[in-house]
Amino acid sequence: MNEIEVIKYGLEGLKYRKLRSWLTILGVVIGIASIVILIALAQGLDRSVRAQIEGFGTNFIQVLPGNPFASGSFGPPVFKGALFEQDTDSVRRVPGIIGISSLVSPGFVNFQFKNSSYGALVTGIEPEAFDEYVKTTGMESGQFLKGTDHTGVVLGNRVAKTAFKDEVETGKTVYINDVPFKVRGIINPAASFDDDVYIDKHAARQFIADTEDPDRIFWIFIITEQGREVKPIADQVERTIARNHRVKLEDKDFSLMTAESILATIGAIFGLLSIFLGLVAGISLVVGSIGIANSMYTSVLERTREIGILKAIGAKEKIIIQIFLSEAAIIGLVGGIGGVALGLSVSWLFIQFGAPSAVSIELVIAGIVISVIVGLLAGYFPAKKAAQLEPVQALAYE
Amino acid sequence: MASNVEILNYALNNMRHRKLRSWLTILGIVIGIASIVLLVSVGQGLDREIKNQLSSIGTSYIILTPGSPFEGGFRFGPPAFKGALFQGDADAIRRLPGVKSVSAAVVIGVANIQFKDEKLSSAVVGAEPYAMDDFLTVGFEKGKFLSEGDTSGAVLGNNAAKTLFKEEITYGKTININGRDFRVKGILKKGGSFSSFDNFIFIDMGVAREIGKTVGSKRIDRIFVIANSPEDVKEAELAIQREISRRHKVPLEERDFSTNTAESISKTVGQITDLLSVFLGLIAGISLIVGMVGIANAMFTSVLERTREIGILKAVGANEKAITRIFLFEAALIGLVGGSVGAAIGWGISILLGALGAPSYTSVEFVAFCLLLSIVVGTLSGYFPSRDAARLTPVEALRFE
Repeated sequence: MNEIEVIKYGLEGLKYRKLRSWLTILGVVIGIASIVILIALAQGLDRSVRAQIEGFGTNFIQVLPGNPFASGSFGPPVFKGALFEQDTDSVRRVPGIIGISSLVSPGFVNFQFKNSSYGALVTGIEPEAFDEYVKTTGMESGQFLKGTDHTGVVLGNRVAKTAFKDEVETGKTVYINDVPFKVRGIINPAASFDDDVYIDKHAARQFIADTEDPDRIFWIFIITEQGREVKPIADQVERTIARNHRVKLEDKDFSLMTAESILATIGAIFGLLSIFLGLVAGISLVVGSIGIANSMYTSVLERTREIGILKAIGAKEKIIIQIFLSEAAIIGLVGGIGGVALGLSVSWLFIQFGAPSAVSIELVIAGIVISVIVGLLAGYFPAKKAAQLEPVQALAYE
Repeated sequence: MASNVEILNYALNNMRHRKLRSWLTILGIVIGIASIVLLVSVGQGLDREIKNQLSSIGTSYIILTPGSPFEGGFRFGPPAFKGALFQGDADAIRRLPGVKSVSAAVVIGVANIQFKDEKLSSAVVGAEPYAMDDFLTVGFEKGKFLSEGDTSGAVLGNNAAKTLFKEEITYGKTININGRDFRVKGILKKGGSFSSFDNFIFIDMGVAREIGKTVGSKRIDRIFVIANSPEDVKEAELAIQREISRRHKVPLEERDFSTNTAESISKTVGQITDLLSVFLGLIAGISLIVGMVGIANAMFTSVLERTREIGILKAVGANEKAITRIFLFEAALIGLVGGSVGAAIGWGISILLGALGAPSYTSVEFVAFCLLLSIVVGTLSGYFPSRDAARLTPVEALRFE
């Protein structure tokens, strides 16, 4: 018996037990489809978050005090460690940096326009560096802060449009903790700026009352040259600040964030989510594989005589195993193809309804390969059982 | 024809096979029900864990925050609080019926804190002392809350004292906040990761205004209210909403502040965890559908194998209804056995998880629901096979080989 004949024989067997085969396949279809759908959802989420982050541009580095991800509990973020103007100055001349700004923030302050007010996160910045950063997004009206403008403020789009009862326009006066500021410009809509309120860092200092540390800053924002690799620049910044703080790199009291590091963190989170969802959906595939085993056992039982004949005319154990294994593999394969097709269709529907869903070619291939493997595994014991039947007894079986 | 022994042998063989098939079919349901029980238990356990921790701050509080409660939705960036609360609002609440005590508070979002040589940034809450002792039901590990007019004391949450700085801050030590020294007058007991004042640093509101540079401002960031008793909360909350809306000259439905109570917070948490439970349960439920297909398959095979038997039953006068019931009963039994074993396994793992410290809670009601579900699932998947069996005509069935 050659390979083709073995497969043909398997197909024949399937045809006779059509309904049973289709139901068995249906089990695999449902299992594979749910794996494909859920993993595609997780990957779609991952992709849409990535796109948002890459939209901010990838040529920046942020230096934060402490490690903001280490806190591990709810409540306000704690930033262990501190950064100073000297840190900013020490890395200003690192090659590849085209803009750098110390940032100071008093946290949430009262922000008022006419009679309505809200709690805004105000950031004090160095205008030259930020002008460069905001350029890619552009201004909807007015312009970014210039030089030493201590009375101007620039607003993110959503702040200007929706924060107050009335829309704020360029040229209007707003109050930050009761100090008047003139709106110099409003940034185009962009997720990275929509909620931001920028003033000059010297102007922001009046809202912070630290008399002991006039040089203390909240964080450092760095823009690197377009097209230049960010990592080596970030490494040099890291080394320099660690030296300033007289700490070893391993126990540094500050952290660096680049587009790359943020993406890596997000990738890790969504990777975990994919695995978790895939595993939960995988339970149904396990049940499906039990269905395959069950249907194969029944098939072996029904064809006991047939197996006896095959063995009587000289079929070796290996051939019998191959026949049943190929049958199980075909169930897996058909189920896998059907499952992937169903999964793709549902994912396509999700996308039509605006849900993030991304089916990769790897996922499609993995779905089919896994289902064939599952089929083979599920078919193994029934096939072995068939192969070990004694020809004489099998022939005598009714 | 083979000998009697051989016939017996074959019959046993046949039964063994059918037994194997039944067990495999049941196994499918076991896995499905066990995974549903387990995943929903984890969702429910999370719910209980969070609610337990939330209840550690008592049930008679009302917290007011600026910002409309009607603006939700996911957004990037910091939360925006539309609207503002004023000192006058806190004073007005003090006069409302059902209210025991009121504390206004301001929050310094980023304060520079120093202990010995170590510096860091965190939020600091400046609070009026009046309601705080009642509010901080988590209790004090050492000391007590600031007394009125204590402008040089600080009260620390457990984490703030123990882990914020390299060195533990103990009672009586001095910390520096935005350039001013404060002596630690109280350290709170540990709450939990979901409640929690564990990371909070409290100082007097007047001093907070000075070091937060908001002296002269009448705006406040929080109002902590304690009702006379937990039963008074609902009424007091409504009275507060009416009074503050009136003061802010906005209709009640468009109010620019939010009130949070133990009940409303627990409701919000419940909604989220319920959603999680339902989602996890549904995904696990897919495997139950596959298990159903397995039952249907086993039943179809069983009908086929017993065609002659059915023919005889019909020939001796069994009607369609009786045949249907035989097969439906068999399917329901598979479902029930699978469901019982599955629920037991799911429950067992859930208890094990709980013992290992993971949040997991299985309610008896849910187990009962799963048992019922497994019977329903079995009966449903047996429906078509049993109908096929019932519709066989006796003569053809008897002729079947």
